[in-house]
Amino acid sequence: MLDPLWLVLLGVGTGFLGGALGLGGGFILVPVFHIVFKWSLIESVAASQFCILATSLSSAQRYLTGGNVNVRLGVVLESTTIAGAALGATIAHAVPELAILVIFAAITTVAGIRMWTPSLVDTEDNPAPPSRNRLAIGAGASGIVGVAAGLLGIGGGVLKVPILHFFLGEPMRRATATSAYMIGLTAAASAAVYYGRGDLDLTKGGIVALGILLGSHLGAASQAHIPVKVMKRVFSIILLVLAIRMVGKALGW
Amino acid sequence: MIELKHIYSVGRAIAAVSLLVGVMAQYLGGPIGLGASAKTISGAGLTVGLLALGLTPIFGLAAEGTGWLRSRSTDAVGWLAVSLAIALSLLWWLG
Repeated sequence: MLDPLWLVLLGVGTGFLGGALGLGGGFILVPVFHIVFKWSLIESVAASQFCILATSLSSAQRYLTGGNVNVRLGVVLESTTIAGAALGATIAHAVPELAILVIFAAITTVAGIRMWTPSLVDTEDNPAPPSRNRLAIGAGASGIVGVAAGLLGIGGGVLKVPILHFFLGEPMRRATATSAYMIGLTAAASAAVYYGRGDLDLTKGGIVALGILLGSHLGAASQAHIPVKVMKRVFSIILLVLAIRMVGKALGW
Repeated sequence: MIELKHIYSVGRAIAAVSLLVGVMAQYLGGPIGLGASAKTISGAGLTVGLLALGLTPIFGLAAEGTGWLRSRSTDAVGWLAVSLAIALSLLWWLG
């Protein structure tokens, strides 16, 4: 009975941080499933995609209520991201585990460092819509993000937000909200592939997802009481530790 | 008027209840005397939970794309949304 309890607690903790910071949580879940619970890497990635669906449903609902989601832009970018996510999940079995671990550790490190950097301040609430060329390049980049998300078991928000903000000119809070909306669709594509191939253990994933649904609710409610900066620092430290462990795992330490 | 956020709220609620039933039946079904039905209830609860999580964004995409949520005629992005919803549904169906 110990394992399910730990899985619920992992879900609550990840959901709490995800709900408070608007993140999918895949960066925490995959290494913990793989290193702590000793699940295979593919099983960890598949379960993570299932859990990201739970996080994104909660956060997208909250952002949609706030009215900050640019649904039209999200739909356009998802046309390539969904295809990329399905492709990433499909080729996951063919990619060497070492490569997945190294790529995962690299992106986790970037995400961890990004948490330490100060948040960007919005300067314009209603920017001009991006040109067709920028939109096409943004969609192409989103497709690559989709492949990474499907392959690594992450939502890809850490890469989507910069594309939306820096390249397509969305204000930061709208970029974050649109990314949260997009993450659910990306995860739906790759989770379908992993589920169909039998990589997903419904019981284990279900327990964590249940914890996430509870934790994300608590995390969203706690936003007014716990400083976001503190939570970002905690999340950053967790990410960097996990990145080191993933590199260790890749090197056979 | 129904909005996208309402679809997400309902999907989340269905997922939470189904997963709770599935997990409870899995671990407490035996002790409370559900016997062989515990496995069936657990499997059903977890599957419905998974489908609620996976299909809610797809349903939202289709509803938004067709203009059903805003009672307006659809445009190019709307049709793209509907196409994506159909593609994702097929992915789940074939999976």
